[in-house]
This record gives sequence, structure tokens and C-alpha cells, in this order.
Amino acid sequence: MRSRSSLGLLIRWSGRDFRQRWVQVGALSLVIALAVGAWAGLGGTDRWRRESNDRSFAALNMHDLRVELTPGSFAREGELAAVLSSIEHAEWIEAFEERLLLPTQVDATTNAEAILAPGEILGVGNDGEPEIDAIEIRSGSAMSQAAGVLLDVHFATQNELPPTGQIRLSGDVTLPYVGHGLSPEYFVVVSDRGGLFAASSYAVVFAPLPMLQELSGHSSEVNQLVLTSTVEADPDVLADEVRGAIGAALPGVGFTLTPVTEEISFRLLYDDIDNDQRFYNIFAGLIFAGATFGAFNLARRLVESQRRELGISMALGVPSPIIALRPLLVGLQMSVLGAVFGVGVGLALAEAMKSLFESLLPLPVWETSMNWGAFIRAALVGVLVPLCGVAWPVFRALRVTPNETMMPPYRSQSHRRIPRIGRTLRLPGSSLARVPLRNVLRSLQRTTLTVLALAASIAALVAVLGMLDSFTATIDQGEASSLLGNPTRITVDLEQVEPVDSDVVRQVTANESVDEWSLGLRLPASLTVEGAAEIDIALEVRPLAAGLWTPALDREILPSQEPELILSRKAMDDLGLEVGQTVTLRHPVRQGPLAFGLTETSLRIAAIHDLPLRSSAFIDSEHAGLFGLRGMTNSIDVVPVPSASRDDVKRALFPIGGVAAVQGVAETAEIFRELLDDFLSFLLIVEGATVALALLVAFNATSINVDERQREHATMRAFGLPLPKIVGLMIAENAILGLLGGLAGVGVGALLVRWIVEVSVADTVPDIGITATVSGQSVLVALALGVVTVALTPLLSIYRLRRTDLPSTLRVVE
Amino acid sequence: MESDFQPFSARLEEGAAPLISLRGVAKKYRIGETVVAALDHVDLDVSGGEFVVVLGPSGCGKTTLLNVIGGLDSPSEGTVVVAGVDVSAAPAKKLAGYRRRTVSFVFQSFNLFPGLTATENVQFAADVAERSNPRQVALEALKAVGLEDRAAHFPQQLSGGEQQRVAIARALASGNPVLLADEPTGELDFATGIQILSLLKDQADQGTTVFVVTHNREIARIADRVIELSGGHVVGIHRPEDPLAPDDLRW
Repeated sequence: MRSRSSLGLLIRWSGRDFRQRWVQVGALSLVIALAVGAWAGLGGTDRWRRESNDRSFAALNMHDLRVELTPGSFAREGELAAVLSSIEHAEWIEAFEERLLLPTQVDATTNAEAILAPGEILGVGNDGEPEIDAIEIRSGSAMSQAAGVLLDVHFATQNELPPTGQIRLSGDVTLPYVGHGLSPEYFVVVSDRGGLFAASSYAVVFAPLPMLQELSGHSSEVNQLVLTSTVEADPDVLADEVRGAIGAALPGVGFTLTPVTEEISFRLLYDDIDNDQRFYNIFAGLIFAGATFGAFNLARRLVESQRRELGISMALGVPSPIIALRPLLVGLQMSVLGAVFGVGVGLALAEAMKSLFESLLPLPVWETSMNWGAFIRAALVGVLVPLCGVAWPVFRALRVTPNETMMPPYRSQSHRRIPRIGRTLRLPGSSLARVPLRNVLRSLQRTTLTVLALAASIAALVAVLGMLDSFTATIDQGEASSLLGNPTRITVDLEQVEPVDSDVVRQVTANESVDEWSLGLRLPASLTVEGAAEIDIALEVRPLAAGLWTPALDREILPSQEPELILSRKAMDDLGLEVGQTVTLRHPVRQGPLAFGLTETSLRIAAIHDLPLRSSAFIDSEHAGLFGLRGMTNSIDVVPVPSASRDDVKRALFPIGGVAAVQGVAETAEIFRELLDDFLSFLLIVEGATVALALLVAFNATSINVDERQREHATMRAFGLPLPKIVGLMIAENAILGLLGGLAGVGVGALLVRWIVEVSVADTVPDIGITATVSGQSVLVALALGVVTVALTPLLSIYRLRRTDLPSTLRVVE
Repeated sequence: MESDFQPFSARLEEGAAPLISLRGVAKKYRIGETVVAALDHVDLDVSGGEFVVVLGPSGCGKTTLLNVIGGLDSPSEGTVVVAGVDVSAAPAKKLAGYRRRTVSFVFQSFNLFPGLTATENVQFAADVAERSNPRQVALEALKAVGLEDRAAHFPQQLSGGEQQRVAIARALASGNPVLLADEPTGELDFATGIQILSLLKDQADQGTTVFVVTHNREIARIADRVIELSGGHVVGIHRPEDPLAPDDLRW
């Protein structure tokens, strides 16, 4: 066997092996392809997402620093810009622009649908495109004072608005819009109530600055300044200098400085990358692990079926390396085919992920490509796994005498070992009923590898379903808590704080669509304690004893002379606080009709509410004086009259000038549910991959079983057992494997959900206290999918079973 | 507990029609352009309780004859009627029922189920034949072949002879009137072979029609009837005048 022709013979022989077992080899290759493809397709999103973000922010010239005056405060146009020339490193500033940002409501009702949403209108540029935070026109044309404004593309697309049309703003102002635009600070739309990805329910409108100034009555006023800096600039030093200069130029006016890295759109896009990648790596890893177990097990069994032939070669004196070559060549065929198919699977997955991201985040630049580095690494492992799976039984066969290798199972020492559980387990029922479980117990090693392969794929599915369950349970809890007592409650936000007896308040409370109402305040603030990161909150100052709604608390609180805070469990945990301890509240204080400053107050924590949002915090309106806002309001809770719907109230309050937003309390939950729906696409990708993997593993295991048990099945038929009953036995055996894999998968998946929610999601979405949950329905779906998919694969073997030549099969002599 | 295990002789009547009847049976295979006749117009009648040995060299059609009688294979021409069932024209479903209730097999390489114990292997046939008290039937069948103390062992834990005895017990447990044994001693040493033949002969004595296919002419000396095949033809049928007991055989 040393000649070249002998080698040629072996190659031809392995070719025949391939032709004989092309279905199994092909299916195994697909298992490897899924592993390699999943790793390459899901494993490299961080690289292309980061690149896409960089290029998208650069393309639209995202600002480096944003100065924003406290809501309700304004500066004369040019006043903020003038300050910049006075700072020490003025040369670091490349460009700057002043802007005006105002809350508003937008009525974009079409013939088909009533669309009334809270939002904001941003006045930028004099009469054309802003240089900083440029607006990419996605449809229609550029805005101008003469032509009209632009709608943010997210809101327009989600609500299927045409490229041009008309909108109404608060105060019953009608404006033409001439297109849909995309600006970098709105790559991810976040509502002022903290709603993430609020694309469909939060309307952003871009208008030329003079136009907005005129419309809003803020003639020659601005409340924001954005700037870009040179590459030499030190961002911290620059921010300090700008802070100092504005503080000196506008004494008593509160303002915040936000560097680009703290902009929520920027932060979410970049922070998400690593967290998302960690998340995808888990799924890719699980699919890879499942495929690895499956490939190793199946490759091993393919070779074991050739064990007798290996023994014959040994008996004929063929050197071991040559004997090993033939099965290794089969392993190589699987590996190479797996790698080739893996390119296709990887590209398909990358494309699916790209579509998902494009639909969620319409960035101007999407640079997606397959991660060839990850692919090559995965392909190398994908090549090694089946080769090891092949090499191991070959090594074992070559270790013993040729006689032992050739021996039929009933004589071979190595096959006489029956697992203890298989020997000792007493099973009820007829012999037929025992066959499936006996077969499962025949080779525990084989069963374990198959179960592990199935478990890994089902764990991936459970992890995705569990994450959705966790989010859904959190939303449900938040919704139930918010709707407590008054399920139709609607919150009316005002554009600015108003006296409780002002016209706007009177118009709202006296509106015929409004039945009951209570007044409150909603203020941006933050919490700090020593040794913990600062937490931004939306502080609600409301009548806790007599309002329309009070959050459910973990304890009863009594009216207090001193102001006390009610915080969320998440905020308490993140700050490491207990009820009764004090926390520093950084909050606005009114210093003039339209001017706010910021101050810090130490407050005791009185109780914990059950809303999952970390930013939700409450204080009794008895203590509104703490903010200089006694007798003032900017947030009104209303309950509609029984005959009025939520939309009726929105329409009725829309024309009232000074109303910024009218939103049903239930809408927040609805927005989150819409967001979850978007992630169903990802669920489908994982579901498809896991079901395909489970199916392939089960199909291959069954297919090899059919080969291995050909004689057993023929004997059963010789004794008159009908074919459907034999298939039934195989289905029962696979169902046991599926159930074991399913149970293990559910267990591992539940642990993964806990880890993902408590570690990964806690980093990405720190503002929501999510409890890890895997619902009974998800467990059932995963189990059913695992059991049914695996159990039904024997049906694919009916044709082969039917075509078995009974006389020949029964005559085979070992 | 009352046993359902009983020899078939109890169900035979003297002077009854032949249990097995073959008329003009042929089995032809096409290999490329060539048509090979494994059986060529075989006529045969066998009564209940006969011990029939089918003799002949390799490739003469012995196993094909057994398969045709057993309903594992269908003849190309002719009719095969066993216990009133026309096996040659039966559809697959009816054939399965026929194998369940009329014939049972003993194979040269045993074909036991490795995942089942000896008892379960035997009980399998009783279960499939839908006999009452299948476990009791299995235990008695094992006792009949002298393996009651190996009942809980798996096939891998049994010797070749023991495995073949389990296979015979399995055939007995079905309670079917025809037992077809294809080279039942081919894998066994002389002493074990004799044991197996004794068991089969006992079954015939108790009324089961036993067909033994072999190329070992010595075995023919214990038969009630010997059918010699050559090239697919029946070249001789004879009854040994003074059949030997299995213990008297030597090879």
C-alpha cells in the first residue's frame, strides 16, 4: 500500500464512501456550516457596526459639544456664540451654531390614520442646511423658510407618511413639510420621557431657525449651542472653558454641557455594540457548541460503522497511517464542504443582521461585510472537529488487535460493556414499549453527545425567548402599576412651567373631554451618593395623597414636614441605598420667569415604588417650594369623560397653545411592545438557526441509526411488526432524546437569560430594572420545538426503511 | 398462572390438507442483461409437524425458498399457500400479519436485539404475535431452551450458542405453526450445533413444522423429509427410512 496507485485507490475508495453516504456527509457538512456561518455572521457585527457608526457620524458632521439651557431658559441669538471667542483655547473650536429646541405636539394625521404624537422642533441654520449635525434628505427636498420643514425619517417611515404634506403643531400652527431627514443626534430617537427607540411615537421636526423663532414667539432667541472642535482639542479642557465662560456670561441661568460621548444617540449606538456583540457571541457560541457536539458525535459514528473494514485492513497488514487515511478523507470532505457551505450561511446571516439593523437604525452609511477573520478561525475549528470525531474511533480501532476490531459486537470486549443504568433499570410495559428507552441507554456516551448538541441549540432559543419574556414581564408590571386605579389616565405636558391659574391650565382642565384632573410638575434632576455613579431622573412632583394616581409603594408613608423622595428599586440598588438613608438631589430651582438654576439638596428616601424605570422618582407637591415652583405646574394628569377616547382628548387639547404633549399613560408600554416586535426578526434568525441545527443533528443521528439498526429493523419486520410501528419506535426514541435535550437546553437557557439580563442588559439599558423571567409558554415552545423537530425526523427515513431488502439484510453474517 | 405457551401439535388435525403448498414457484432476478433464476418451478407440499431439511450447495436457492415461504420475498411466478394464506399474492400489510401469526424465523447470525435482554428479546415475538401473558410465554420459552438463568442478560453477554438458543426461544414464543431456520448451526461449534438441532427437532416432534436450510448433509439424517435443491430446481425429495436422533450426528 505504499505505491502511488494505492494512495489513488484510497482516494477513490473515500470518494465511493462519500457517494454511498452523501446524505449523511452532506447533512453533517450543513451542521458544520451552521456553526462556522453563525460564528462568522453573528460573531463579527461589532467591527462593521463600529465602522458604520464612525462613518455615519462623520458624514453628517456630528457636534463634539452641546450646550443646552435649562428648559424654560433662553438666550439672545449670538449671546452664546459670543462667549466662545473669550475662552482660552478658542482656536480649538472649528465651527459652532446656535439653535432653538422646543417641545411640541405634532398632528400628522393622514386620510388613513389619526397620528398625534408628542415631539420636538429643532430650529437650525439660517435658511438651509446646518453645517453641524447636518440633515441627510431621505426623501423629498431640503427645508427652507419658503418651502417648509422636514420630518425626522424615523417618525415618517414608521407612520408611513408621504415625502411631502402638512403637519399641525401645538398652538394650531399648520406647516408644510417638504421631506424626510436624518440627523446624527437623532440616529436613535429618544423621547423626552426617556423612551428608547421612540421612532413611531415621538415626532422630531427640523425647521430653519428664523422660521421657528417667528412661529414660537421666541424672536431672536436660542437655547442651544453646538460646536465641533479640532483634532488637537482636549475635550475636557474645552468643556471646562466653555462652562466657565457661559456661567460668567449668563449668571443665574442653568445649563448643561453634553460632550458627544454622552449624547444618548451616540452612546447607545456605541455602547450597544459591545453589549450586543456579547449577546450575539452567546448565540453563535451555543450554535457552535451544538454543532460541535453534533459533528463530533456523528463523524465518530460514521467511522464506527466502518470499524470492521478497518480491522480487515489491519489483518491484511496495511500500515496504520494508510488505514487512517480513508476515514480521515471522509472527515476532510465533511470539513471542506462545511466550510464552503459556511460561507453561504455566514453571508446569509450577515445579510439578515444587516437588514435587521437597517430597519432599526437607518444610518446614512452601513458598511456590512462578513467577518472573514472570524470565518477563518471558525472554519479551522470546523475542519478540526469532524477530523477529531473521525480520528478518535480510528485511533481506538487501531489500538486493539485486528481480531478485536473485526469482531461482531456480541463478541467484542469493547462492545460488551453495557452502561450500569441500562443493565439495572427495570422497565414496565411490553418489550416493544421498552425498545426506545433501551436504545437510548445502550450507549450513554453517544446519547450524551446527541443530547448536548440538541441542548445547546435549544438553550439559544430559550435565551432569546427568555429575554423577550423578561422585557414583556417588565413592561406588563410597569403598565399595571401606571394604570393602577385610573387605566384611562392621560398626561398633559406643558411647554413650560405655568401658574396653576394660567390660561393654558384652565383651558386644559376645563376642556369638555376632561373629567378629572390633578396638577403636578415634572423636572429633570439627578441623584448622587458618594462612591456611586450619578443617576439622571425624571422627578415628578405630584399630590401623593390626593392625586389621580399614586405609585404603589413598598410601605405606607405619612405626610412629612420635610421633603422626602420615593425612588425605584433599581435606583436604590444602583446607588446602594436603603429606605431611610439620604441622597443628594441635583435639581433645578426657578430664579426668574424664564430662568432656572441648578442646586443640590440632601433628601431622605421615604419609600420604594414598584415602577421598573430607574429614572422614575416622586416627591409630594407640598414641597414644590423646594424648586421655587409653588403654585406652578408643567404636567397635568387628566381622566377623560366616559364618552371620550384617548385620541379624542388629544384632538381636543391639541389646539391649546402651551401644550407640549398629550400622552396616554398606557402608551409607554405600547411603545416598548412595538420595540420588542422589532426584535422578533432577531428571534426568527435564532429560531431558524436552532431549529435547522436540531433538525440536522436529529436527522443525521436517525439516519445513522437506520444504517446501524438495519438488521434489527429487518428482524422486527420478519416477525411481522409493521413498518409504521417501527417508525413509531424510532419516533419515541428521538422524542426521549429531544426531551432530554430540551430539558437540558431549558435549564442552560434559563441560566443564560439570568446572566444576560443581570449582567449584559443591565449595562446596556441601565434605566430599566428588568427581572430575568422565562415564561411557562416559552419553556413549552422550546420543549415542543425540540421534541417535535427531533421526534419527527424518522419520518424522513421511511423511504429508506421501506426499500430495505429484508432477505439480504437478515442474511448478513458477521 | 396459566401458561399460554403450548406446542402447535395441539392445533393440528390428522389427515388435514398440507400446511404448506407451493405450485410452480419461480423467483428470478435481473442482473444487468442476465436473468438469474434462484428458484425454477418448484412444487412442494409439507404437512404440519414435519421436520424438513433443505439441502444444497451455495447459491442453489435454499434461502430464497425459505424467504418465499416466510413472506420475506415474493415469487416471480407460481403460488405459495401457507395455512390457507396465499402468500404469493398478499400485499405488504397482509404479509406482515402473516409473519406475525403463521411463521417465525431463526437466523444464522441470530439477529437478536442488542438493546433488549434475553427475556425481552423473546417476549418481543410474543408481544408482536399478540399472545396473552407474553412475559410468562417468554420465560417458559427460555426455560424450554435451558436459558432461564440467563434471562436478564443482554445478547452481548451471551455466547454464540446461547444467543442462538435465545433466537429459537423467540421463534417458539411467537406460537406460530411454521418455524424457518436458515443455517441455524452455521455460526456454531459442533456441540452447540447439536444442542440447537435437538431443540428444533423437539419442536417438530411437538407439532411445529420446522424448515432447516443447510449445506451440511449430515444434518439431513435427522429430518423427516429432505429436499435437495440445485440451480433453483428441486432435484430430489426423500424421507430417511430411519432418522437419527441429533445426538447421534457426527461432523
